[in-house]
Amino acid sequence: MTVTTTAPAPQRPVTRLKLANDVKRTDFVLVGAALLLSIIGAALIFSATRGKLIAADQDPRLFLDKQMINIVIGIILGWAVSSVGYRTLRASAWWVYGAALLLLLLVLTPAGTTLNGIQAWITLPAGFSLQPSELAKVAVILAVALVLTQLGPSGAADADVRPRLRYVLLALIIAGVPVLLIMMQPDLGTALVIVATVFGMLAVSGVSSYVLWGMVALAGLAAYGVVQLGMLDEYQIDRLLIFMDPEADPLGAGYNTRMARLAIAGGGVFGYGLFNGPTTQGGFVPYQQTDFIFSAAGEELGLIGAGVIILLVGVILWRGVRIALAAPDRYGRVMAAGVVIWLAVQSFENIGMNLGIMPVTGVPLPFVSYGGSSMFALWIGVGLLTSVHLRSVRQR
Amino acid sequence: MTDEPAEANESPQRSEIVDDGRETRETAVAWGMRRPRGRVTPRSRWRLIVLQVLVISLVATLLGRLAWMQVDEGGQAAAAVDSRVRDIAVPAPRGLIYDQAGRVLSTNRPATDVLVDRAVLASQPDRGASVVNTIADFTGTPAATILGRMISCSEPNAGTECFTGGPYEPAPVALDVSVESVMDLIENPSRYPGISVRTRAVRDYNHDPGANAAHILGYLGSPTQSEVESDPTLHGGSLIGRGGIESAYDDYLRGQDGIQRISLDRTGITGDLLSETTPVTGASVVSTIDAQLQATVEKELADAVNVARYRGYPADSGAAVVLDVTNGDVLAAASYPTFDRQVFEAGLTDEEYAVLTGDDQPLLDRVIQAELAPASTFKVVTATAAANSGYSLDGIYPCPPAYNVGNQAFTNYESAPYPPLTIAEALVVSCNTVFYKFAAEMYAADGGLEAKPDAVEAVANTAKAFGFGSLTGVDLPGESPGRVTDRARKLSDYEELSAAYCERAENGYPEEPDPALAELYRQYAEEYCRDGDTYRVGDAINQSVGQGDILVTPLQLARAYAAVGNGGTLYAPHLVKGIVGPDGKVIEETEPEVVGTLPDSPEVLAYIQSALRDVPVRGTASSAFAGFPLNDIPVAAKTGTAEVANKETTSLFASYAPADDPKYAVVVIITQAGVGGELSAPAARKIYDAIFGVVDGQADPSRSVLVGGAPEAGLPAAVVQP
Repeated sequence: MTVTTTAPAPQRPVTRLKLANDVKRTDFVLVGAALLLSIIGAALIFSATRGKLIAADQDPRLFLDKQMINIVIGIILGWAVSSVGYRTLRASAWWVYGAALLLLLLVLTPAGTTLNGIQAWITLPAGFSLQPSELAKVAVILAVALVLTQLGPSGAADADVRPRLRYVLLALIIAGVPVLLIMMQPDLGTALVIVATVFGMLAVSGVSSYVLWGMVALAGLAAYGVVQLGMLDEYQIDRLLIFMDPEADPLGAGYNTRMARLAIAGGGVFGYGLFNGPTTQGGFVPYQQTDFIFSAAGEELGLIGAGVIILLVGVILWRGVRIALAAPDRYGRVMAAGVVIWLAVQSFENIGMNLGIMPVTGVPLPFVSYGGSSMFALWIGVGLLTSVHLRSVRQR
Repeated sequence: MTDEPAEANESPQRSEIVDDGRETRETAVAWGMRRPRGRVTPRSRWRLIVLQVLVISLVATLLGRLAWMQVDEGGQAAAAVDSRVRDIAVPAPRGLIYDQAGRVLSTNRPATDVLVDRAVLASQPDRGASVVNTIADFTGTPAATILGRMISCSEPNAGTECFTGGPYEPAPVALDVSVESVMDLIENPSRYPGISVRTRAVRDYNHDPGANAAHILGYLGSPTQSEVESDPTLHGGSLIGRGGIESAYDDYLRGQDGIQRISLDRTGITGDLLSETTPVTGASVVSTIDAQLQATVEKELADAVNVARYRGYPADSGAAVVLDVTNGDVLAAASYPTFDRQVFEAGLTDEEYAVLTGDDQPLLDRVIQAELAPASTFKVVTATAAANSGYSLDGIYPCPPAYNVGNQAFTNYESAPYPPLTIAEALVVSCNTVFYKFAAEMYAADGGLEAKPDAVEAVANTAKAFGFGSLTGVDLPGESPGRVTDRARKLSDYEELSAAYCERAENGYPEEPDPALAELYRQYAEEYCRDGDTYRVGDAINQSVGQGDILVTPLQLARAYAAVGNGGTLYAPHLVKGIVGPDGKVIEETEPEVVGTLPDSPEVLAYIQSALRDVPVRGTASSAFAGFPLNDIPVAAKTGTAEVANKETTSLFASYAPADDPKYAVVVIITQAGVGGELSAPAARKIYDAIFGVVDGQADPSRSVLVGGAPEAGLPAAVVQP
């Protein structure tokens, strides 16, 4: 063995190597599934919107182009997050959380824009707008994971210690404030997604099952109280109830679901083909490019295409759980689990409502539905998962 | 989240012992993972595995549901109503209704309606509130009314004007508005998504010579939800006949609406015409009604009501009918109070609805639906029964002021006491006690309280043979049968009613404010409870003069007198002469329908006819027919004055003319209006004046309200194409 040089390897090549390795070690199945979903979504959005845009004398590619930009920005954000690393982000979790709260407050002021009865947007220049509640999902996950992994002064970082009750309560408060702000918009769907996500994070963080069941019972009581006290708008109760019998009010709350189900059922195994679905092209499904994009897939791409979407979602969730299981630390695990649960709840709710087995709440289908803020948040989520994955692989 | 209870008690120390690399690796291998480096604690690991299972089941659920919907339910969805295609009904012009001479009674005129597409409204952010306001602004129709007309009848909060059409059918919300008021809606449809304007044909009722004939003709209305569901040719925008000829002949008149099948574009407003069936115009109906005569009869009835009221009577209702005795054609039929059919066209206001459904019951067609005591006009039945039971037509019978049975005295009502009379004289002067005697004796012959098995019940059975107590078969909806009470009927009624009356006998009528009346009712109930099943001599006596348990409709009475006049033939009355297609071809021509024969021998009938001829000459109707050319046009008639408990008497007049060659039967009945000879008889006389063109005591056919002095023999040439 000859000693060629005593000089240590220079810093730069190591960094380059690390970067190159990072790219190589990225979970391409996860990122690829997300990318594929985004592209399928953009195509469906184009199909569902071009007719309306032509009729309105506008550029038929308007929604398509904007969504493409959303995807590109999303990927960049995701890449940035994974590069920075979740441990760095953990340090600034409170800043992210604080910013999200500020935006949620801002949207309730006259600066917020109201669409379809929900005051959830902040209008930006050049036809873009920001939906703080989407970004708040990420912020809540980062902050709640941080609190739940604070194990106290002894700090046995990875011991199977259930989080202390005070941290559980703190997590609930941290989640509760943005949930309340979002319910004031009022956007019940997004609020419920966050609630479900935080509940899942509590479970994964090791909170006692008695506490978890107690929370389920309390939530049930609270829901009963909310309905009884009339704290929900009538249309919200309508939409929650109508999924059980969409025919009951075919022109009111049941109209959207009825149209969506008609479109999906009409698609059959092979679908009408992109740009050929009569219900989609006729513009019969309200909010089709956002909440009901899956119905366009069902009609135009059929069982095969829509099934692929479900499977791709499944792939993302599967890889996400694996990443959480392999996470090198508690924070990474709970945070990754939060991202997975968020995606799972939102996907199931959205596709379920298109298929008529879940109530109608306005949550987008991850990666597929039109919407910038949602797309950014989702790719940031992919970035967080990737970051956890990279760290666990690097440590190997 | 599931968890193992034992695990909850694990101490941190034990966990750390368990939590070594080997354990983790085994789990990882079990779940198909590359060996992870992180130390996964059992609790977290378990819960992540639960999450993994959940993810798999969520995906499986969604895939399963998707496959079920697209493979299994796909066929059903294709067969289901396709909401992207809309069928728009093109209303068929409704057939016309002509009078017997070919004059128009009901025709069509264009009306403009505003409709809303509820599917478009539902997808608007405000659920269509601005659309409703727009329509209210343009048409003046209150927004509340518009909203009420948009609500589907199948919904729980549907009102009286709810929409019976399907979810994708446009709902008419503002009816018969002026074209000028909605011009902007017509010219700029793109500015008003969800709103459409259509023109349809509506009934136009304003014709010469001013006959209303509301009850005969009926009116149009929207079909009910159940009618739409049971009849595939109906839709929410259909109009169907309600009451009268419009209802009875709706199948002919309605025609067949055309259907435009339109594929909708994304705005849901208009689209390409996929297929079209042209509407088929309805057939026209030629009525037996003569418009002129009808107008006259309506006027005379209303005048008589006013006279009665001037005399201080309530005169709350009335009916007048003119029949052609040779075939049963109804030439005129008036019911008082009446209503204006026009109010139904623009949708009823609450006020109009209240009047129509109020205590006066203007919608009731009293000609066929009122059941009234015939009083003395019934005596032709009793006379026939007596003659058929062996009483000699040449006999002389006493006419005392009262007829006594046991300790009960039945008094004459209408007439003064007379010396003994023939049956004919008794009819002319309307002596009741002569008929009481017949009735009591025939009742005794039947066995009295203990009826013999071979009891003939002559009066009741003769009444039935005269067409009372059963439907006449007139071609109008909603006819009442009237009522003839015999022993069997009395028994069956008692079985049905005794429980209620016995309960009333016990508890009285606390809801009746007048205690004296309440006690009267209670006593009646007690009596009925005790022996309501007994057919007593008083029942027989009362029935002999058309009182008590005998009720007839004005049309039944007119038909009975028509039969007396025409030699004994009972016809089913008709209001329609024939049906003529839109091309003028005759589809159907009504033939006279014989439904029975009077049980009178020619001798008995001639005897009664001759007696009735004397009534206007020197009997109870003589003052009413003073100055009428009875020598040229003899009139056979009978007056009647019916007593009604706690009410003024009913004034009746039944007749036919000319008595020597009968053509017309005229009946006038006004309730709570006094004596028959003083009110109904003069009204009928004026009707005869009009029919025969009587002026200054001279009949002149050229002055008759009937063109040519008589109704047309067949269908009028004006409406029939050879």
